[in-house]
Amino acid sequence: MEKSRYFEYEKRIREAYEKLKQSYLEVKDSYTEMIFRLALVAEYKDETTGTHLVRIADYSTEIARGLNLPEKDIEYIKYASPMHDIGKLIIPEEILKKPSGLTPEERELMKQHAKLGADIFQGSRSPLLKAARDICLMHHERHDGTGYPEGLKGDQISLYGKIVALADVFDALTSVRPYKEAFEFDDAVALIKDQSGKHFDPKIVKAFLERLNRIRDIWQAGKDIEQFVSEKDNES
Amino acid sequence: MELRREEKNDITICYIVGEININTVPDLKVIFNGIIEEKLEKVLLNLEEVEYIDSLGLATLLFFDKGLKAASGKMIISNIIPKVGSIFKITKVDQVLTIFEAEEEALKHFE
Repeated sequence: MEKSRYFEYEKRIREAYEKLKQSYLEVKDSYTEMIFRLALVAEYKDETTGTHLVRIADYSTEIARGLNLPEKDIEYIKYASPMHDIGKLIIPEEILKKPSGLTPEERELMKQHAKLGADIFQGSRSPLLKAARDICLMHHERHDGTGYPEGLKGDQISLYGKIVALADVFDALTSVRPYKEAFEFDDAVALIKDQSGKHFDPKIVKAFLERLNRIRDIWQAGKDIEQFVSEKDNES
Repeated sequence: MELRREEKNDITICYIVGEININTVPDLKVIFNGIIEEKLEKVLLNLEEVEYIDSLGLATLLFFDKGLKAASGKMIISNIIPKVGSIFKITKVDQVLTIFEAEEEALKHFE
């Protein structure tokens, strides 16, 4: 083959590859953007804050690292964990925002957000969306089988579900809600420890405790962000 | 994470590449503290090549903004990609910091 033609082919292949890589990156970017936007809609409806979503991703990522999961799985959990409550999009607002005293029927309906969220991703072949499905479906299951929607036990619960379950409870404990004050960091950690083998899988609790310094940094950063935002709100 | 610094007239532009997260924040803080000590007045962070930011990253930007202000400087952010932009938006950090879509707009604002 002539040298010049060879270089021409090589150039074309390189250009085609660059184009393909670029469109892949664009799809990947718009997908992750979509995840945060959808999750945000669900959170708005529920009146919790967006910092909660970022912290859930951060806590879950730390636990996943503590478990020495492969880098790919850590990426999945980082991007899929903020979707855990996406099923709340389908729950009527008057139930989500009811300050207290749900009737038993309303409570049952509320619990359906896990299954409804999972249905959104059901049947997907994308590993990321499969992770999102597991997380939606299983983040209210408990290690001892007393959770919902299925009452799954131990390793019947996916690892992704177990990780986000702990991250979600820890973040709820350390956050102010209309019906409660925020727990102090150490008190929330003590509660998590106490629930090892009950609500939570002991190996998830162990991974969480091993990275407690970093968990504390994330908790503190979340508080700092909220402080900056509320100062700005008060100014305007 | 890498940070490339360029000076344009009296404006310091920092191009950050990679993730701003719990692992990269310690290095970034050292660089930011150095900038505050230099008493630079106009700092532009171009985040075009930042692929993700976590809670610690957001808090670090907020403290840098505050630190610069206290030293009579100003920080502006530009070129945030949509994925990262949605993180700024959901946390409302976009309401606290000064953000422009493009570098040219940000530079113009400084002038």
